[in-house]
Formats: sequence, C-alpha cells, structure tokens
Amino acid sequence: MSTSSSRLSAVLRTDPTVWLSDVSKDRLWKAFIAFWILFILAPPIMLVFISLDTASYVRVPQGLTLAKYDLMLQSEPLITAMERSLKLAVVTMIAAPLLALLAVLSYRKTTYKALFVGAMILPLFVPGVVQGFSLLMLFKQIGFGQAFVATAIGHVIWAFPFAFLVILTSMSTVRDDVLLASADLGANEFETFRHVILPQIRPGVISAVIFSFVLSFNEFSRTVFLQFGQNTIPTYVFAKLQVELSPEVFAIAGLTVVLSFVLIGAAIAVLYRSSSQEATE
Amino acid sequence: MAHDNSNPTGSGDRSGVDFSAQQRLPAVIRPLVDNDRLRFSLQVLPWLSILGLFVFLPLAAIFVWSVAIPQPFGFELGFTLENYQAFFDSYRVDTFWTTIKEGVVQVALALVFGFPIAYYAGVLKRDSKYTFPLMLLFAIPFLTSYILRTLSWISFLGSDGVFNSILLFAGVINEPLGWLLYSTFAVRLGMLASYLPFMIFPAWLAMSRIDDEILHASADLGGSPLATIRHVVIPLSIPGLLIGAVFVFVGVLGESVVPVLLGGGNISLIATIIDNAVNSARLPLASAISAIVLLFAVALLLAWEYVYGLKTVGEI
Amino acid sequence: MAPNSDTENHGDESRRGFLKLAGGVAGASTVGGLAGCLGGGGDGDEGDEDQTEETEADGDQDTQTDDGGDSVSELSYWGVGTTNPEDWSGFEDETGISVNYSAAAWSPGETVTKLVQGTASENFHLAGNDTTLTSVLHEQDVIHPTDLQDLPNWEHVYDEVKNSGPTEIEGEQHSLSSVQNGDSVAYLTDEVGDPGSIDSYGILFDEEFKGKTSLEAGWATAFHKVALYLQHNNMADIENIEDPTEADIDAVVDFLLEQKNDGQFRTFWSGWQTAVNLLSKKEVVAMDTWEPVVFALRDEGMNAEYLEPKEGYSLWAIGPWLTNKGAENRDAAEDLVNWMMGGWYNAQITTIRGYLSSSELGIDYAEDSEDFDAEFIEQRHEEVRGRFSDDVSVFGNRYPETFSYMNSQWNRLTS
Repeated sequence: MSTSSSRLSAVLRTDPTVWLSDVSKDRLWKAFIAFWILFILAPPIMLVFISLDTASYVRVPQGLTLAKYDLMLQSEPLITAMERSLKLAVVTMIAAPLLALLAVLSYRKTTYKALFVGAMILPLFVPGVVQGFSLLMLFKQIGFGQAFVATAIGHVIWAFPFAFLVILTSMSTVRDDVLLASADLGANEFETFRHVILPQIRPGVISAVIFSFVLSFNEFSRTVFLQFGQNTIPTYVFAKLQVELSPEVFAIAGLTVVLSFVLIGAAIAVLYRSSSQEATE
Repeated sequence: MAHDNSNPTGSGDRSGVDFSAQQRLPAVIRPLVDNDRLRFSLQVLPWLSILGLFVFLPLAAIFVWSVAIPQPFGFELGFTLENYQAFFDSYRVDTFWTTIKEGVVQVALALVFGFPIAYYAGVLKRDSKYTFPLMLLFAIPFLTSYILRTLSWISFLGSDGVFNSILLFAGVINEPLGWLLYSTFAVRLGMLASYLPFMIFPAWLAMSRIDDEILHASADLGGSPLATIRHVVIPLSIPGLLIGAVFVFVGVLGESVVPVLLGGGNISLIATIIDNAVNSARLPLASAISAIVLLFAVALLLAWEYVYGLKTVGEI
Repeated sequence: MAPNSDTENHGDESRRGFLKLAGGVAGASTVGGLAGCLGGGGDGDEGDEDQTEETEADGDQDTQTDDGGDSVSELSYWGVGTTNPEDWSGFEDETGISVNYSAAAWSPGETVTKLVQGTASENFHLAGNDTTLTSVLHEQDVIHPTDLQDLPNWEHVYDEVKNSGPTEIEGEQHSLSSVQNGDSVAYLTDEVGDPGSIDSYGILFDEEFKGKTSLEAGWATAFHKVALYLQHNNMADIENIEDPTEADIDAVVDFLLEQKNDGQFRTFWSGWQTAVNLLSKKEVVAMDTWEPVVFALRDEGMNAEYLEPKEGYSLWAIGPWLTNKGAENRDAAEDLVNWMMGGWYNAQITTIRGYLSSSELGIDYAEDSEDFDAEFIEQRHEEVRGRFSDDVSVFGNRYPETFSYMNSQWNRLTS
C-alpha cells in the first residue's frame, strides 16, 4: 500500500501509474521519447532532403540530385568558413571548460557564493550584438586586430557561463568531507583533484565540452562584429542567403547532419556489438 | 578549503610535518603549493582576469553608453535619459514585455516536455549505455546553421508543407491551414525545437547525479514512481532545472532569427530591436535597451536568491 | 569608471574611437540587411578573395600592395552584390591588375557610417553603393570626383543614367551608376491575372488576395512604391516621396499598419532566399521585390510577371565612387570605373540579373559575342530606360533627413 501523499492518488485511492502494466508503460515511454527525438531531428533531416532536392528554393523535396554538393565542393569561401568554424569550436571546447573548471574550484573556496553564481549568470543576459560590439570597441582601444583570437575570445566568453553552470551542477555531488579525507590520507591538491574530484564530475565536464563546442559552432551575433571579415559558417550562410540563391549552403548542412548520424550510429553499433560479445563470453 | 599541512599526520613521525604529499610534486612548483594564498590566486587569476576584462568591463561600458548623448554618426559621452525615453515611449517597450512573456512560455514548455525526457535518461534508463548516444541525438541539430534549420520548418509548416499536405490528404481539412506558418505558433514551435535540448541536458545531468540508494530507499519506503518523482527526484534536480530554465530564457532574450523568418511580422522580440538600433548606428539606444534587460536579469537573480538561494545550484 | 575629468578627456578619444569602430562594426555587421534596407548585396566579405586578417578599421595598415603611387597590382572594390559581375578576369587580363571584391550590404546607414567613421575610404579603392548617398559622402569628404577625361566610355553612357540620382555635384561627376532598375511588384499571373489587366500597386492591398501578399521588411524601395500608390490614388496627402517628411512617413506607415492588422500580408520578407521561396511555394501571389526574382521564378518554370504600375516605379541606382585610397591611385581606379562602363561588364550585368547597365556598349558587345543574347540585352535596356524617363517614377533618397525616423517607424511594421 502506498503511503504517497500525492493528492491525485489520495483522491483516486490508487496511484495512476499502477493502472498500466509495465510493458505498456515501457511502450508509452519509448513512444514519448521517440516523438521528441523526431521533433528535434525533423529540421535537420529535412535539410538533408532539401540538399538533395532538385529545386534550389525551400520546399517539400521532390527530387534527387547531387548538384548542390557539387557546388559546395567548388565553393572555396564556404569550405574556408567551415574550417574556421571548426577551429573556433575546438578552441572554445577546450578553453571554456578549462576556465570554468578553475572557476568552479575557486567557487568552492569562496564565502560569497550567491554573489559569485549571480555574477557568473548575469553576463548570459547581455544581448549578443551589444556584447560583440563592446568587445570590438575594447579591441580597438587596445589596438588588437587579430581576427581568430578576437572571435575565439568572443566565443569563449559566451560559452563560459554555460560551462561553469554545468560543471557546477555536477560538482555538487563532491562532498567536502570526502576531499578532507583525501587530504588527510596524504594527497596534495593536484592529486585530490585528479583522483577524487575529476572522476565524479566527468559527466559534467563532458557536457560542458559538448555545450561549448555547440555554442561556438552556432554563434552568430558576436561573431559578426569580431570576425574582421573572416566568416564562420553562421555568418557566411546568413550573408549568402540574403544575396542570392545559395544551394551549396544546404549541401553543407546536409553533410554535417549525415556525418553526425553516421558517427552516433557507429557508436551505438559498437556498443551493441561489445555488449553482445560480453553476453556470449 | 586550504588544508594546513603542518598538522602531524601519518604514523610515527610526531615531531614535524609530513611533506610526502608535496614531495610527489615536481620541485618547480613546490614553493607555489606551500603558499596557500599564492596557490589560490593562481587558480583564480586566469579566469577572473579574462572575465573581468572581456565581460565585466564591457558590461559597465554598456551602462555608461546608455546615458550617452546620441549624435548623428555616433555618440558623445555625457548624461542624458533620452535613450531610455526613446525606449519607453515607443513600441519597443511592448516588444520587451512580449519577449519576457515568450521567454516564460518557452521555459514552461521546455520544463513540461524536457523533464520527462531527462527523467527517462537520467533515472529510468541511467544504467543503459545506449542512453548517452541517444541523448547525443538531441545535439545533432546544433551542427547545422541556425538559419537553415529555421528555414526548413517552412517546408513543414507552409501551405504546401508536410503538415498541410498530410491533413489535406487525410481529408481532415479542405484548405491549408495558414496559421501554421508566419504566426506566433510557428515562432513558438521553432524556438522550442531550438531550446528544448538546453533544458534537457542540465536536467539530465542533475538527475543522473541522484544516488541510486536514495531512489531505492524511496521505493523501499513504499513510494510509487510518481511519489518518488514528487518527493525525491524533483527536489534534487531543481538546480539542474533552474539552470535549464536560465539557458532557455536567455536564449529567447537573444533570439533574432526565428521571429523574422517564421513570424511573418506578427511577433517581434527584443533582440531584433536591439539589432536594428545597432545597425542604425544608434548605439546609446541599443545600450539603453540592453541595460533594461540586464536590470531585469538582476531582478530575476535577486528573486531567485530570495526564494530559493543561488548557492544551492552548487550543492546537493 | 574613471572620474569625470578623465572621462571628459577620454570623451573625444572614445568618441573618435567609437566612430571608427562603428565603421568596423558596420562593416562586419551582416544584420544590417534585416534592419534597414537590403538590396542585392550581403556583407561579410564573401567575395572571391579572402581579405587579410587586418581589420577594416585598422587605418594605418594597407592591405594592398601598392605604394601610394600609381603602380598598383590589386584594386579593392567594396560594393553591393548587385554590381558584382562574378568574373573580373576581363579587367584583370586587360590591365594586369587583379580585383579584390568584397560584398557590401545595400544599407545606407552601414555604408555611410563605415565610410565616414570607419576607414573604408582608406581600405578600398572603390566603394559601390546607392547613388543617393553621394551628397552625404561628399560632404563628409570621403569620396572624390572623377576626371571624365580619363573615362572614355563615359560618352556612351545613356543620358538617363548620367542624370540618375544626385551623381553630379557642382559640375563634378562623383558617382557613376553602373547598375540600375525600377522596382515594382512581382506577381504570379496564374493567380493574379494577365499583365494586360494588372497595372497598379493596388494588387498588394487587394482584398481578393488578403493574406497572400508580402511587403519588404526594409524600406529602401518599398516605401516609395506605397507612397506613389497613396499619392496617385489620392488616398493620403504625401508632400514629398523622394525626401519624405515625418508626416509623409506616418501616412505611409499608418496605412500599412492598417493593412497588416487587417491580415493583408502573409509575411514581411527580407533576403533573396525568402523572396524566391515565398513566390515559388505560392505562399504569396504578389510581393514587392526585385526584378531578378521574376527571372528566377521563370527558370523554375513558373509564370511570373513584373508589374508595370501606372503609379510609377521605385528607381534606384548603384555605382562606384572613388575613395580616398582610390584618389591616391587614380589611374588604376579610374580604369576600373571605366571598365565597369564598358561592353563586357554591361552585357554581363544585364544578362545575369536583367538590370540596366550603363551604356549601349553592352548591346554592341553582345552583338559581336556569342556568349550574350543581344536581343535580350537590348530589350532590357529599352524597358528600364523607359522607366527612368517616364514622368511618374520616383528616385527615392536612401539617406533623407528623416532617416532615423524612417527606420524607426518602418520597424513598427514587423513588431
């Protein structure tokens, strides 16, 4: 008998979740998750079809052709923009979580924790264009004109609060007494970090890395001001779509989607094979 | 949390300090480690200086510019409230409130739909190793350009798009539904598709941190899954949910693509207004609007601190 | 921040600094397209050659390899995409000077700011944008008049083009329009009607097409079309269309807001991709847009026409100016300007976009060349020249006194 105080249950005298058998519950869950995955993935999958479509405008695809991919391979500025986006994303996914990690470690030692968190969250609210513009102004004042570093700084600044908050969430399970115990047992701070803290916050760090990569790859409004003429994919696509029919940008979108599916599919396949191997062993 | 190594530890040696921990460090940085204050400041320095220079300095500049006197091609430093006036006296203030409202709507939608997804991944299926790759699927859209993603919604929502075609074919409707596209509905749909993952990931992270034992204990005590969710999962994952809410809300505040492409001129968000101001070289106006947004954010943070406490984000 | 006295001292510097930056900003900004006016060009330097890593506001450093003398190996041209012939090899082969093209947005605010406050005038030899900006830029001393003696092709230029927009100031020729057209409305004949029976902007506001028309999100040419419509049909008291007063702007915007609230417009469009999408998917049956959209639709097999409005077209012209840097390398820069008035360029522009280029040399060149359809070019030239010399079309000023007010009010339409 359930001592649950859920009002619904009290009213109904039973818990609604026991009405369903486990099997149908499982099916409902799967359907629910599948629906949302489909919802999120619908635009990218459609982009793949659009990239193969015969028409050069956006419509429900009805044809099949590789013409856009051809154009994509010929388009040097597009490929340059993609390289640049990737480079910036890699830099951001290393720098932002690193800085965030240091910040989180310092956070644990401060007394003004609320102020600290608040100060980390506040910059998130600065509108992208204004942040980009003010950074540009700063760079001009100090006479800095290197495009890649300027854009990278903009991206890292943008991703940092995200990484910080995410790592902070996972850091919450690291308890002070465990750290004290580790120190008592003779570990210095670096060892404590490496052997005690890091394993526990690994999911958080991985999430922060993924977040930073994704945020940097998609970053538009700040990049516009800081790129100094060197386009990234978002700014290039934007400019191109204003000017003229640009089928090749759809091709590159389609390509990245297909590649990511392949990678994740491969990962799942590998996991499946290794688990079935374990089963047979 | 500086640990004082001068207390005698270890066995046997009662007359002095145990330096074995330090001795495992390379000689070069040993003096650094000894001095606690130095070590702490080294930890703080990199990110604090970067943040200070590139985040907080421009933040202060925004407030300064917001009271600057606008000139035809720029501005002059000074003090005037005309920028704020231009904001409050015009359609812009309505747009601001619309944006806040849409932000709340998006947070609500993301919570309602994101929570179960995170629960599934973080609690129900936490032991399955397929969970991680599956969740990664939610990140795939972000590897394509935001504009293209939004444009592809047009092929779903348009008069001859996927949804209308299916409905027409099934005979449910006689004429294509016009409100699917170039409407507030389309904007909300587009934004949800973009920001749902921002809620899912922190919530998932928070839920996966909940100890197995606690969940088992709750079940042992006779709690149904629903009760466990209500009394155990939700309270413990609130920090993650709050962070997800912040990400989603911030996203809406900065959203300028979706309303333009999918809104049909029926809905406009504050980021577009700010963009317009910057591109008409009206920086003081743009700064004033940004200052209002920031003040609103401060108010939010204060409310958060008062109601729940900001530091609980970092504690379990 | 710093105490008052410091701020005052820094005031001027930071203002200068800001103004310079605003140039860099405006240059880097591609969002200008959504804000104000957007024509055929996008920003972001997506030309064929990459710019070097220096910023454009970095006035001291030259990104080109010239020594300030007249021997130049590369000319840089910052112009609206409409003027881009996609292939500069004709010029490069002729003179041995390569052309570094960077796209500019057809956005007056950005352009003026970047030239006046930024250092675009020092970074590029030629800047190509809306000709109505000429007087403002001249006042601010960032462009220079050309020496017509050095431009042999000038005498072949059509009269309509020579006089289009305020390109001549105090007897000196500043702007040499290389691409122009009169804009109206693109519509689908199957839905709206045959060209013979359609002759007014009224189709945009026709109840029959409620919810199936679209207006541009930027006012560059859209404003003038609507103003012409209101004025011609006595629906509002419009004083001046080309340099509208605040009352004029109010009249137009209020009318449009009324239409919008009535549900007349499906959406407001900006950018080429959106424009073509809307018509090709028949989301809208009529929209004010650029003429090449009609050609693109026809390529896709649709029956589309460009309206011949009795109220008149909204005319525009885009052409290159000589910047400060260009004046330093006058010979080479003027060579390029001359080439842009020459046969191949003229033929190419009309062929790929259907716009009117500057002279009949284009037709002559096409007749002798297999690559171009001389008949098509001749027909296009005739048609657009007609638009320029009729009595009703207006040539709107893209940087009127009421620029700020116009921006602000037009944005109300999309909020």
